[in-house]
Amino acid sequence: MTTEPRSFVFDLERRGLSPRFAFVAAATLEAVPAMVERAGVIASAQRARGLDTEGSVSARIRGVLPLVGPVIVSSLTEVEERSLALEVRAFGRPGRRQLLWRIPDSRGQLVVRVVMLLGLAAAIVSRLTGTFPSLP
Amino acid sequence: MLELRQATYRYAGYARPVVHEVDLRVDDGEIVGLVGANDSGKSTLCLVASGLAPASIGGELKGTLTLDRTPAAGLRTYQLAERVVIGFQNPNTQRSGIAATVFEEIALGPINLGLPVTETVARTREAIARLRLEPIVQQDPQRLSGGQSQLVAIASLLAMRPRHVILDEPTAQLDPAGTQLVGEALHALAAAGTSLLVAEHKTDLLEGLCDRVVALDAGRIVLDGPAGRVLGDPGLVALGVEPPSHVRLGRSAAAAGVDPARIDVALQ
Ligand SMILES: Nc1ncnc2c1ncn2[C@@H]1O[C@H](COP(=O)(O)OP(=O)(O)O)[C@@H](O)[C@H]1O
Ligand SMILES: [Mg+2]
Repeated sequence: MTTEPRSFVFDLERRGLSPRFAFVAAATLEAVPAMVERAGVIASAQRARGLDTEGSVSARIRGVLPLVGPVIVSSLTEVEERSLALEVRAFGRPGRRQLLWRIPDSRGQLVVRVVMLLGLAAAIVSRLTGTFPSLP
Repeated sequence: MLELRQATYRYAGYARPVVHEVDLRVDDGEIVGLVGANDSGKSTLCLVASGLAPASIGGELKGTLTLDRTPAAGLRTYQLAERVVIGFQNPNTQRSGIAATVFEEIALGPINLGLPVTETVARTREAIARLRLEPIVQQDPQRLSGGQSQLVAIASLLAMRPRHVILDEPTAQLDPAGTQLVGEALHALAAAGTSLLVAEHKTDLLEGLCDRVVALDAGRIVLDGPAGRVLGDPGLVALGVEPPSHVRLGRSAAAAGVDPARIDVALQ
């Protein structure tokens, strides 16, 4: 969950998306596991205080509602601190950035995909015609 | 050189200022310590000195902040970032969340400055070396200890090669070895001409680190002078600041009727 969203988003930036949008997209993708983790922590804290987060569906919904507030509030104050820390690192400065990462270029990937598809087709054909070598 | 003149700051939505008429100058190559009780206004003063209050968080600043002769008023946040950086106490909120490795995390600031890749890499390597982070450069920044995270957060600021550095309790999560490492890195920065303002509870660290120490009480500067003098001031305890250990030891000795000079000699 760390490399994938990042390379996806920086690829978009290289294709002209603004860094600000790129960050929002990346941070959103990255924030999901953090929020799930925080929800887990808060849920176990609430359970420790006698809240029911197990059992029937309606009981679980009633149990989960008190978690929503704390999860969102703690996420919001963090967001404020986070945005200051990002501004300190010149985030939002206009102008292009020179990224460190090279994401395999789409032409290379296209070639790989075509080769793989051809290989798959060849495998199917050979299987159907009975010439596919049987695996040991 | 960073200079506040008659700085009075009020948070947005609040009637009263929490920092009052502060005059504070940090010269090139100087390290100034900032002490005071909880809620005395250290963090707010750090934000004001960074320009982010009010540039980013709003509120009202009376008086002026000047960075190397440039008035900070009217600078955008990214223009401030080219001149002054501020580090916060909690390393978790200082992580970008978009870097897969510690190296990338530290490189983010220089990248945002629009620097060529070679320059970004050079600055990142320098910051890594200053905080001896080489063993963890390939690790996931989300999976570090509190102390490691704090060092990475500081390195991420240093990679910007700022002329002015403000740190709000930079060693809160650090063990003595990490604290010493940060102290050495800050000394090296000052030797290279950077001006530093460091808010800290650890007066032992400040004593070895700072040229000058400033004490705040209810948002006002009440003591300002050479580190040894301010940290040895008899009024410090009443301000809610714990003096350095040798000062406390000397006082206990004196209270017990032992000549403090003999303790100092014994400690040498
Ligand atoms: N974001 C904020 N909004 C409003 N008031 C604040 C905010 N942050 C701090 N304060 C208030 O400003 C005063 C000084 O706090 P702070 O600068 O955090 O002191 P310190 O860092 O010395 O503990 C306190 O009374 C605190 O309640
Ligand atoms: Mg504080």
